[in-house]
Amino acid sequence: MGPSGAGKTTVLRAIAGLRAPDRGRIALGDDVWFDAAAKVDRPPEARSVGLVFQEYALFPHMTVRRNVGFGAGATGVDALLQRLGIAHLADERPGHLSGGERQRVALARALAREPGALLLDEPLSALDAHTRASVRAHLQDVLAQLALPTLIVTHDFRDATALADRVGVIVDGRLRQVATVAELVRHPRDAFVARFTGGNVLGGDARPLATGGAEVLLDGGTTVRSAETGKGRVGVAGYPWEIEVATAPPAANGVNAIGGAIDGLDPEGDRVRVRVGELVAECDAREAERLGLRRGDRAWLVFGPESARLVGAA
Amino acid sequence: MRGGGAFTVLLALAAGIALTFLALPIVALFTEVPLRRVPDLLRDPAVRDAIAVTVRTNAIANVLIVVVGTPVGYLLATRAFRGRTLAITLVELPLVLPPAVAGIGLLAAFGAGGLVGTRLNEAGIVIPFTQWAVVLAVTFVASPFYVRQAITAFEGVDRSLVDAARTLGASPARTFARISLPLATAGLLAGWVLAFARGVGEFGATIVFAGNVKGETQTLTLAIYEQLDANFDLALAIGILLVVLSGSVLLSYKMLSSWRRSSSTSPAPFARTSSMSG
Repeated sequence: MGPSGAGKTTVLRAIAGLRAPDRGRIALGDDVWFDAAAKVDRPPEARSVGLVFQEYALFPHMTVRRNVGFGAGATGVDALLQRLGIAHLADERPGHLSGGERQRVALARALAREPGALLLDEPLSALDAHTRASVRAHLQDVLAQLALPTLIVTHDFRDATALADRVGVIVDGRLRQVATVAELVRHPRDAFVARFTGGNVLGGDARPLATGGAEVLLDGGTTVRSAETGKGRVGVAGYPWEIEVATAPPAANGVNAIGGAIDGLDPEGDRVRVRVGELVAECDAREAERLGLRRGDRAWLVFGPESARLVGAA
Repeated sequence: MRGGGAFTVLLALAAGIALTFLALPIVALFTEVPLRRVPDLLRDPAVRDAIAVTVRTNAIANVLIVVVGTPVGYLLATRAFRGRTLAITLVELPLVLPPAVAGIGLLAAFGAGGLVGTRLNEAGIVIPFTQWAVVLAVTFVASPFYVRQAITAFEGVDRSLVDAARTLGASPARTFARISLPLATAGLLAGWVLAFARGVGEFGATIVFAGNVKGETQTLTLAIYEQLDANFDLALAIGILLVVLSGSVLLSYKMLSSWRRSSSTSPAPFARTSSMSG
């Protein structure tokens, strides 16, 4: 996962053999596909890999069945079409298919050779918003059944959470952090990872507390407490779903509260994203209604010290 | 059309002049000789010889152009290498080279005492003023029309389709045969039509390099030239034959391209017949 231009697709192309890296080693188990030092560079056709392209790259002059059966040693094409629920499209040309159908055909084609590894390049980005969710769910089911090493490239954290066991965040060609989704959210290594996984990051200056944790004077002037210890310039990362919205300052001591006028109210499904300054909180739509939140009203965003993670300076 | 009346009149006037000018020679060809005499005229042995020479030499030249030009176009379209720009320029050179210069160049190369002609002579191979000279002249001047179009057609094939074929286990050769070639067909066909038309119309390079020997190197265009003084009606009749040939080639190409437009990714070198809708 990473922003566009981070080098995600390049990694997939290197693994598939469409591009030779300057250095390094690519192997599936003991099967070495590329080794710069040993001068090993197998051509794409000699690597047991299935690559699903971002725009699917279906052959426009062939039917679905012939697309899926194109691969060298492709077997059980019709059974595969059946399994992916596209058997009724077998004699169609790709030009007549919807985005979701194309995605299934591309997946079937990549799987027909029974590859040792599956690579998916932005599998959902070519789809419009309303097919995306259903295709994501379908892909989730298929991947769960496959038990195949799968590398998925995406710029969308939601796709990553839905499809991945482990997530690597890549920026400017470098991996910033590799962890499970839960771990990424619990301990983002830096401000970028925190933001990319949906978190807020506020800059400030930290001072360790004798009682443990730290106190951070935010650039906005508010002081917040973190359960983590830190010193000097830091970023305070907090996730919207861990931040509560209140219409009055909290009575309890030891919780953080940042007050201000509500700058934005964005409904998202049955949740509402409430923005005060740089900080975004998320609450239940019914809760938002009960509080009577409106743009411009004063509100407090409340979160505990354990939700104020300290990351490298923002 | 609303507004801009005077401007529209100006455009229409220019179009009227241009179309009249372009149509006039064609109309004249058909009106200057009584049409029912044309079949008789074309039965003249001189014409039959010229048809035989034209068909034979152009058939060989077209096979050479397509068989060699297709891989050349594919290479130039898909591979980056040093000297690629130079190679493309060389391929395009005959387009702008005066045909007579092409003829004399071929003579200097393959003629007696020429660059490679001396060696060929020693081996007992004589090319100038034979039918092989016509073949070489046609190939030289017509090939760039095909190769240029082939480069464009292969460049028009989505790169990710080629990559996809490779990751699906297809060798470069199989990828070419199953993906690139079928998807470039419309463009290749268009290039071949252009090359064919240029080859049949070849005159300058042929007359310099192959001469104008009846039954041996005299093609239809050279026959027109010879018959100008001898039998003007015969020259006109050959002209009609060539107009019908060119016209039907262009028309059949246009029909073919509109028929298979949906499945092709190649750009069309000719305007589409039905592009004015909307």
